[in-house]
Amino acid sequence: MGSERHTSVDEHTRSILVPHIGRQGAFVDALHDVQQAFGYLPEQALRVLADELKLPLSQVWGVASFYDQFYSVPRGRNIVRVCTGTACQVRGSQAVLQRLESVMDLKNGETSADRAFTLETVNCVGCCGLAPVVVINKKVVPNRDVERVIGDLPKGNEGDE
Amino acid sequence: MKETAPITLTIDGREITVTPGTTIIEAAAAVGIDIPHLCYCPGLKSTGSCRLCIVEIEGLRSPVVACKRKATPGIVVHTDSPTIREARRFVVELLLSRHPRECLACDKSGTCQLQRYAYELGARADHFLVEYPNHPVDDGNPFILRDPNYCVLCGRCVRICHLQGAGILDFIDRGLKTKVGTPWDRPLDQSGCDFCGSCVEVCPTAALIERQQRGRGREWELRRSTSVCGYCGAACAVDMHLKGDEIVRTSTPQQVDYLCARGRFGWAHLSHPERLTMPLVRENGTLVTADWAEALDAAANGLTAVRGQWGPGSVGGIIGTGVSNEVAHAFQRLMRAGLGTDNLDTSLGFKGLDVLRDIHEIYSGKRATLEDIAGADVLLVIGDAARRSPAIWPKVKQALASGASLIYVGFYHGRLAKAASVWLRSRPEAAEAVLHHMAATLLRLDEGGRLPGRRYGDFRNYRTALQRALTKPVPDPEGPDESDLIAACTFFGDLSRKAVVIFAVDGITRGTASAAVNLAYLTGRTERAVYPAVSAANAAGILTVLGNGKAPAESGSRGTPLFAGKTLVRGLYVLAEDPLSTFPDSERWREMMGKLDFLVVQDMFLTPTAALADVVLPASSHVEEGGSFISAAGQLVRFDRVIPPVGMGNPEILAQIGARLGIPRLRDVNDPTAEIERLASNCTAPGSKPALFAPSVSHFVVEDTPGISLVGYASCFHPVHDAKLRRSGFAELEPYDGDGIALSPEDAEALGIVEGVEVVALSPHSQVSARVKIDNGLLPGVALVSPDAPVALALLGGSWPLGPVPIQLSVTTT
Repeated sequence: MGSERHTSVDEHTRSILVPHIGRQGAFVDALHDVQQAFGYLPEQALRVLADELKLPLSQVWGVASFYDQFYSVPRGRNIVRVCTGTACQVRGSQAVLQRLESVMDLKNGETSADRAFTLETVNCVGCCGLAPVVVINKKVVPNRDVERVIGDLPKGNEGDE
Repeated sequence: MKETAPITLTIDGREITVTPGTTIIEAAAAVGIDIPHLCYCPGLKSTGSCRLCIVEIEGLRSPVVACKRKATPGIVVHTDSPTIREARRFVVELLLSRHPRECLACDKSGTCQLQRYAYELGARADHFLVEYPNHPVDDGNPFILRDPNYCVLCGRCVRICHLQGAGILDFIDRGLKTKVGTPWDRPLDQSGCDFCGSCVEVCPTAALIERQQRGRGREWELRRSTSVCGYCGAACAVDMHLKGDEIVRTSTPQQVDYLCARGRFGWAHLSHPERLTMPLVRENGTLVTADWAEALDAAANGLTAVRGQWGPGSVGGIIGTGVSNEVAHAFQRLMRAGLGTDNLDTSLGFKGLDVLRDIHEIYSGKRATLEDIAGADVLLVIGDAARRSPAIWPKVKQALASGASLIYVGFYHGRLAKAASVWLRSRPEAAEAVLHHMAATLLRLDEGGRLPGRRYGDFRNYRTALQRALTKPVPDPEGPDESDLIAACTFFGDLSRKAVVIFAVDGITRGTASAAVNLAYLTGRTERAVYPAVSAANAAGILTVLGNGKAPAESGSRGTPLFAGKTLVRGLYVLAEDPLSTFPDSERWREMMGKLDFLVVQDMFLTPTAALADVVLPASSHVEEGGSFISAAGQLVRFDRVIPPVGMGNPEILAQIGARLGIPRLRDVNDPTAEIERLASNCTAPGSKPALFAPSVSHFVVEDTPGISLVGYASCFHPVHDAKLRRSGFAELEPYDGDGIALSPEDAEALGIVEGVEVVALSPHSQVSARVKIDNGLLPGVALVSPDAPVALALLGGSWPLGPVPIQLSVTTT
């Protein structure tokens, strides 16, 4: 089948799926690996995944859309997550979110046009003592330091981790 | 140990005995106790998710789900206790808190199961905080209106879509946001939906309804009448739901059963404004409305005059392949007894006549039925049969779901290829060679000499010819390799497995058909192992009635013998056929029509052919007549008149013209029923011995066509060039109105063209403009046209309906 068609995504996805073919319960693991590779779940990659694992595409999408942590659109190089867990909620996380929405000019769940930032929420990160907190990439940042940390973030490709 | 003794249980005080494995809901239904349910649907796997069918079993602390719980000996079940009613009311009230209260104007009112249970349980809509989901409505297609706001998430549509449809529906998102949707939540028409409408059939609420039904009548106003679909040779049963004489919607007789998009939604043409209701007669060069007597006189006189001047051989008739046996019988009587001519023809000449006739001669056993396909262990599908006769697909799916193996011989990387255990790649012209290679492989693997085919008298000849033919390689460089053939033969060569070979008579060559039958015979499958699908609704019937079992108008083998013969036809009667639009080589037909002294056309619409006629008579549909077809499985399928004809109706028109030609009461006296039954029983003629047909080497010479080669293959496009389907909403579904040409993404890229671009296509037969459709299922180097589409008829020519022909494409500069 197909030679030049979607070559990079197709080939890349197939190579990711090799260890999962024919394995019981491989489906969600395979989704994780595809997202790991592309940063999100590209449409073409899901089509290849459905073919390779012999699953209906509708079922693949059903599962991919079920979990919040599977993304169907490309994400920013820096992820800013406002914690909306119970403790943070009580300590004013809604105000933090609103402030960041206006500072970053993004709505909750959006990614900036230059793909430098994604703003989203998370349900508790286990640092309730510091509430309200924001998680920037993998670092937990207390409310008062958020703007400074964001300002210090490089916006180019080198910003990963 | 498996218990097989009958089980006796008590439901609501009644003692019931059932077989082991029966669920409580089934046991209750058997004695007329209807346990409320939403997600349960007989014929679909139970999920137990709606919790409405809960019942109490004495001795158990909590209620159980009746659609999942199997009956066990001695249990005492209560289906309607106060506790149970309370629990059910809770469920319904939760559903109502998210369900729009639009029952007053809802099309589903009266059949909505939510409405029914809310009423029966006295549920209040505002018991819980009301919060509507506000999902967007999917109304972008002509057939199915999908409003997830009415959905109760029972999942019946999801299950039936996977059971017999395109498998595009599933639950998407999570929690309160959960809804039934397609991948990426796209509209149905952008998600690969087949529009079989199975989901609409099983939906308990108004989340999925027939768009055409909207506002045209609710269940209590409708009466239901069973008929038969006339769009392909499968002859599926279809129930018409009528308000007065108008078809409001259709359904399958059983809730979980299959109709394709054509059978379910292809009926709006019957009440289309363009439908002819009165005859037209040509006066001073233009067609004008005439009364019936005048038009019938004109038709009879015109044909008689031609016969009087030029002799009986100068008169001819063409009959459509979708008319009933009875109409065909009357027509041939009219032509033969009334006008003394044997010049009768059909489009079957280029739509599978040869193969149909061959199968009649070479396959001596009873043909397989659709049910045989569903119950098979091995299926061998050749080419595009499942698209020419869509009823095959759900049967294949059912077989696969029960563990059958599918061998697909074809080149299209679509659902068959994906579902197949073995995909033997082959272009239509190479399929014969691939099947012969399969036969040779079967013989080679048969070390013990156990294949029953070896015992047939002609086996020695056959094997010699096979060996001679197979010195040439499979002519397709991308064709199957040795391991694929061995895999296929491992499945097919297992004599303990029930196998069915499926092909479309109008979708393969004669050589391919013989090679396919050989495979069945070699493995001793002499009964119900061949399903010869056919696009035309009544091909077998027309063939049988017109030719007394022989082919009509034997004078030519490639169709159009009427005009290919030496006699010049000067007077022509065309019934339910449009040669100018649906026959290959339409220019030649136009020229011939122009030379006629007199032309009568009987059709539902003013087709291009009808526009040339001297007399146009409004034709009726088979559902307006009643009668019978002979299905692809060789069965006589009867159907009743469901609605009265618009105008006079075909049988009466033929009788009236017959009377004017001196055959009194054509319709009554010569009741063809007995004769048709006799002919139909001949249709499958058991008795002759199975025989293997020696392949001829010449069949194998397939020239490699450089560049892009064009193939007529029903793997894309709805057949919207059909006059009836086009007027039933299908044109809206398919933007490529008979001028679509499908290209692989690679070829399109090489040509620098995108979807929808108009190109000029040049074949050895003609040059036409066409619009490009990118088709991901296509291999580079192959272009597809929908068979019978105008663009196919032009580019492929009349020589061979499948191709391939080499084509050149160039972009139009405007």
